[in-house]
Amino acid sequence: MSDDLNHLKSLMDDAIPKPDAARRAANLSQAQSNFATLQQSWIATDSSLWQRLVEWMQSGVGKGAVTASVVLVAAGLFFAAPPEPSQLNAPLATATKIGQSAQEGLVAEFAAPAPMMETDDAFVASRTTALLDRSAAPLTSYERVRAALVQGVYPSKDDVRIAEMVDAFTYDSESAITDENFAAAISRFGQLLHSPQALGRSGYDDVIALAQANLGSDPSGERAEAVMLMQLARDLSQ
Amino acid sequence: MRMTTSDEDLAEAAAAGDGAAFASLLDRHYDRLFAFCFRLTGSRADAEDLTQDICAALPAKLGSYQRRAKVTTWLYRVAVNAAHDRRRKRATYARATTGWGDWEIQRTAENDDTAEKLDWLTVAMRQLPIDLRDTLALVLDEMTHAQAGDVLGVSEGTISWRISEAKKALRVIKEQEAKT
Repeated sequence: MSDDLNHLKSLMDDAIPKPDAARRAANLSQAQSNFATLQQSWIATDSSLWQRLVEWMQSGVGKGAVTASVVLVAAGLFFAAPPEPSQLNAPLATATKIGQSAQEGLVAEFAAPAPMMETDDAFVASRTTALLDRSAAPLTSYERVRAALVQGVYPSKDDVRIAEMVDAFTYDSESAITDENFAAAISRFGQLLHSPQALGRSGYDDVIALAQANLGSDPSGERAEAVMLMQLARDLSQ
Repeated sequence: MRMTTSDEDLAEAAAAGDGAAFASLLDRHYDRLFAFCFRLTGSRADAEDLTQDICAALPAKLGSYQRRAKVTTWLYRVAVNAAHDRRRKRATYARATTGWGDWEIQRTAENDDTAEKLDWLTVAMRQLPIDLRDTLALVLDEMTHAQAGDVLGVSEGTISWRISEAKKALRVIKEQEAKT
């Protein structure tokens, strides 16, 4: 690496923060739970297929039928080995349903064909095509947070996606500082939703004060609404 | 026991349905994956969200792991694709306030006295096109040009060319800085 890049590399290495411990744990457990769900549904599919084959074999009479069955079972397994997209849709759909509904949006994101996808990725993509159709407009992170708080419950941590929440607002106030402060309030709001016990009531009070002081002209009322949601979250945290 | 097992063996076991192998593999790579996500996005919040995306989708992605392929290459490819999808999705949202995103630089520069001054790294990364940024993210993570090419699905030569383009761009940025 040349000097130019070495300089950049050391700046970059210094800039990299440590991953948030709480989100690390949450992400790892989410991954494991998705893994387990996916596996269970695979096994369910496999065993029902297997059972059908056994039943079908038993229904055959005489040795000739069994020999024919063996050949056909071999052929069946050959076809079963690379499962067809139609078979694969079912387990993934189950996994998504059992997991967070937030996954739908995620799966949709991953389903989009990217330029460097491998053949197997295309497989995964085809599994999720059906999902794409069903979840025409997945809710954004902020919409999920709002839906939960309005119902008087904390949003699921998987639904709290800080950068997305910050992006849910329009930033075109007369003052850029107002916008940046408001964005900071939303970001801290997201952090509080991730670990409500960390800062407690005073944490919410600070965030609410910061947001309220930076409403700007707020033509659509979205910022005022966010303050209301923060107040709901504060009340829930007590 | 698990710590002595190679990444590739763990990935194969995971692809075959071994949950403990999967958990162990992800735990082993999480911090490095997060750091790579930061190199790709330039913002802590984005890196956290992107890592979350990848973790949640990884079980379904195990099918694309090919026997004997290097795990980091596969994992980084998943990460680059996820970042790419996210960027495309975010293009419809309001612009990001942080990171290497295409935030209007002059607007932030207007309140330099109050807002935190942008560091050189952020300024430099923002001025590079996305493919150069992704390439740099890999090479700064100590990947060889050949490995980076593998991840991005381009030739080693393309990577070398992009790196020399990035160096040229960085030099121009530095010169501009020296003038002001």
